[in-house]
Amino acid sequence: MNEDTIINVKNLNLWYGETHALRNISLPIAHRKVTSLIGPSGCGKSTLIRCFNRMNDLVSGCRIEGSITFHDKDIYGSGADAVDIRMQIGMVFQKPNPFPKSIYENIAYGPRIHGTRDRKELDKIVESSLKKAALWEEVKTRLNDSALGLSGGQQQRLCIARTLAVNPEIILMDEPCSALDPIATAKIEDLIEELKKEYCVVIVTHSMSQAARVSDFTAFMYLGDLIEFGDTRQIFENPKKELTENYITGRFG
Amino acid sequence: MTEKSQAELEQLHQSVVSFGKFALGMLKESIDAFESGNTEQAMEISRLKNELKSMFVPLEDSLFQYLALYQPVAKDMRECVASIRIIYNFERIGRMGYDIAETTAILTKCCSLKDCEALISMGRLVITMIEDALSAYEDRNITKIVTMRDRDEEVDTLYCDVLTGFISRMQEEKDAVPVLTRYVIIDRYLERCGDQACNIAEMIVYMATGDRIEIN
Repeated sequence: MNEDTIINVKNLNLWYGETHALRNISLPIAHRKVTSLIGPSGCGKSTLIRCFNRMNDLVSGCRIEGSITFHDKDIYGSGADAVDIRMQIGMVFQKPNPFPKSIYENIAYGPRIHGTRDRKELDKIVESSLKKAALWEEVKTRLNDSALGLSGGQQQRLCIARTLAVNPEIILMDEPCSALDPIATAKIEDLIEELKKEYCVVIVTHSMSQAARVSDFTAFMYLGDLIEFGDTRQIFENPKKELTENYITGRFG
Repeated sequence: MTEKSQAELEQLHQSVVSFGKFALGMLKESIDAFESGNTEQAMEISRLKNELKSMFVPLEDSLFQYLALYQPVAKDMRECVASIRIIYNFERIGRMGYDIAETTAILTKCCSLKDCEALISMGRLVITMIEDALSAYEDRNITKIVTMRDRDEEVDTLYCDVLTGFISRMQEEKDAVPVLTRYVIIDRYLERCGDQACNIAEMIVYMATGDRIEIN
């Protein structure tokens, strides 16, 4: 762990009932960098990313051992508040899931429930969040239209803007482009590049080329184990573990 | 990667080996022609230049296409990228074989060949370097190329010795200058072929291990 580490995972084990889904995972996540989690389906990468903002709390029979610290505070510690953590560590999912509300309300919703009532303040947050998510120019004249009328790619950027509206430090993305066409995917990738100047981004992806393009660090997981973690360029050019090599070159998976 | 793409990459590997053998064959025969003063053999090699080009371009295209279609990573990426570099090195070796053959053809037409043993032994040394590089590529095994730097230094020393010898002879035998000048050119071609063998070896090390080393 070094001074740039924002999340530090130490000896993390997770069980879904009897199923041991994460096995002794230790991993630092660097601030203002993109870390991608790769691995075949069922390897635990989504389970791991969901641990970072305690989304697994909602899964019955889920049990966790080990620690995940965020700015040196254990997010599973007794004083930690899950709602507070999810504000600081936002999440974007595979399928865009805007609220069935206007574009404006989708963004204003989070800040409002966290106590911002002033309309001018909300307007500012909506505009800056949409700008940061590279969506403002496309929607600024129709903020009161339903978010459900946006294209899939626009909806996904809206969901990113919604996450940004509550001023997080970390953005978790669970296969954010798997439901998008190549143009929308490219826009999200450009956006990730922009976002990392200010935020820490952790992305789960099934696309090897996407992981190679967007991330600074890559973690390869297999059957609940973290097999290899390192600089993305090293992982994709010369992985140290044969299992990583075999997976990324498509020899299994 | 699918079985299809693995099979394609293996096929490309074999094509690079065949191309390497063809280019090396041109160099070997050009040295044979030079040694025996065989004009006919030298002219035969000259005719292979177009064939060399017609093998190189489609092979290069296929490697580019492989990169674009499959976006290989890790050892597959290294193999593809190394192969692109290596076929260029082999193409240069083949063309230098052609150049030596062309020079030999002129020599045998206009002058008598004499005192070229040092050049020939240097040529043989360079050929073993290229043969070992080709074999290392074919087997994806770097054992045969670990001494490449030492061998290249030996070639460089020979190059300088031969060159110095020719220059002093030129000063003493003015009439031999046209022949000796061409010997000097061949000397240079052979030294460059040694460098190409080192370039190939560097890429094989990268392909097999991921390490970037510098040999020459």
